[in-house]
Amino acid sequence: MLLIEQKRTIDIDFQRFERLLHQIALLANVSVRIMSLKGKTLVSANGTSDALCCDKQATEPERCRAESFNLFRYIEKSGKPALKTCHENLVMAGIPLKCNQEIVAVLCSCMKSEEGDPVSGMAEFLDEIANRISSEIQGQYEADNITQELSDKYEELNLIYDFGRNLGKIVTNEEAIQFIARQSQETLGSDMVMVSIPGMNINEVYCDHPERLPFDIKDTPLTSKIGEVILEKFISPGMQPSHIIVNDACDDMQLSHLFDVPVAMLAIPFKLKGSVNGFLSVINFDSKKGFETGDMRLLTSLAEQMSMAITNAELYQNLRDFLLSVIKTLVFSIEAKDSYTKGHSERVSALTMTIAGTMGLSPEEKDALQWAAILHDIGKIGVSEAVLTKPGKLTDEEFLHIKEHPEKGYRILMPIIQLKDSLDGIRHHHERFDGAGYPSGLKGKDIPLYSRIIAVADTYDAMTSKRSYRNKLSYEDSIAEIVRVKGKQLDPDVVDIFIKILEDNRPA
Amino acid sequence: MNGSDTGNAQKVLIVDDEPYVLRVLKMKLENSGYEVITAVNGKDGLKKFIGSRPSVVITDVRMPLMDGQEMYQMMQEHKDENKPFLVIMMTSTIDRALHLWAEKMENICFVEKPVSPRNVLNLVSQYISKLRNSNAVACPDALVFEEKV
Repeated sequence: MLLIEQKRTIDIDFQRFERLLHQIALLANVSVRIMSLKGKTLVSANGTSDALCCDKQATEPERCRAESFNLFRYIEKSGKPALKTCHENLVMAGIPLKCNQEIVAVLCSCMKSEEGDPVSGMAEFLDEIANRISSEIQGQYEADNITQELSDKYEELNLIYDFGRNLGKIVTNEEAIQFIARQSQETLGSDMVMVSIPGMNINEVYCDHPERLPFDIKDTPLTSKIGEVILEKFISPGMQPSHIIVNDACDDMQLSHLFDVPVAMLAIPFKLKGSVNGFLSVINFDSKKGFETGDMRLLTSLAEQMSMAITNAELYQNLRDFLLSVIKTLVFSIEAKDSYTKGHSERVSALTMTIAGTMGLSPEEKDALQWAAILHDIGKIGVSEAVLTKPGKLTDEEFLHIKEHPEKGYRILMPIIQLKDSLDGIRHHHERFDGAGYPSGLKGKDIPLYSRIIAVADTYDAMTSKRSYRNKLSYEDSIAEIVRVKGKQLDPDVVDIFIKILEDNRPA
Repeated sequence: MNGSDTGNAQKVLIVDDEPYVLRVLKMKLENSGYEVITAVNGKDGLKKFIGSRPSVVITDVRMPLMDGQEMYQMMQEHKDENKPFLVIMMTSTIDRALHLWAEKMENICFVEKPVSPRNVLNLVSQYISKLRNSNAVACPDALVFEEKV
């Protein structure tokens, strides 16, 4: 059986009926108790001995036991109250106590049937009492169910709140999946979380204590195999279950065999744009910790959130890619004015990001730096083509004109609030470390970090490309030149990082 | 790890004027073997605290008659020095005033509403096991005795 709805066991505290039974016993002068169908006394008005229904007739316990056994079998079969004469003048009465149409116990009594005094009156009275007890048990059972349901809802609500608080921080698919995996592990207290979305090349196993797992989580062929088997269950035609719960090997032989050890597993299909693309699953290697319906609902909620976060992350990524392409096109069209600088901004951007990659910048800082790098020469849109492409030496006036481009770029982009962290990087990319640069003559570390990084990338790309006034420099000459201007034109720290990157990646 | 490990269930007092919160937490903790006492406001809570000496008090902040903060202070005045207890406060927002107040208090922690019953249970069992371990250091014989039982 693949799908198992966990049924809550009916756990009733019969002790609270002790007072009631005691009062009945006093009032009617009978022995009365509540027994299980197996004949165990659960609560009694007088004494706690098992098997015997009547304390007054202890002379023939074997017979009493046999008679009550028969009575209980009859009640179990018919589901109805029964009377049975067990000894001369003695009648055994048993009335089933029910919860959810199931017999949970029997209210029993032994009474004398004297001549002309049939026990029917007493039986009716007991029947009424049994009804009251049953309805109280039923009420309690329902209240417990509702409380359990409410408790599950609290859990779910808590998860959704937590997710909402963190949604803003989730930008990439990896972040979304990691967040949900951690949540699943914490909330469901599981040993291992597995997320598989083959279409996105995701087949991840998360575990706080990999050493406790019965297999190596770096064993990729094995984890992919497990992922495939589980996913197959969700996408095979006809089946398409909403969840899979495996609490012991009998539930699903195929899945259990994958692990070699007893496992409990709960898996929920993961839907993107309406169709199943993967699954989210939690696994316990301690077979005592099985999964229940409440866990299933929680994990379903987590899977839905993951789908939402991934869709969000994709939308964000798409928008960002689109914007970047538009900006690149814009930059290309400016560079098109001068065939020598074609592709310059994109190359500078790539070099800048390579340097930034080794500098421990936050994702937000990298983002701002990337925009600054790709847009650093945008101000050249305001420089005339004749000056930009002029072969040979520029006049002082022309040179001043060109030197305006960082400030122009800064002014052009100033209204774009999303670029505010990138603006200074653009404005100061022609400052010199020794303070002799432009437009502000900033010196040393007063120059914004983004500008200092872009300056190194910009200088290197300018040297390694052909210009209208000179040919491109060789690799060795460029390095020598960069080292020569280190500390004068360029930030020595950034230069050191850059040289190291170049040497590490130097083609053999 | 649960409350009935030693056979002698640990007591937890839950104070809240919302009956469904009481019900949910009571069920969750009882299922793990703790003995649960409930109260519907701070005044009631204080009375039951003195009467039962629980190891953990879980309380709402805003309640009629006596709020959670006042109750906490009264509990400190009436506590039994040999019976340490943890207070878990449930609140919808931890504002600055409450934060400053809590900084000066000891053995108190906050959970945000809507509370996760699992989370509350984890806090309770973590505290109880910490309490047991510290007892074990102070009185190693008691631990051996517990194991035999």
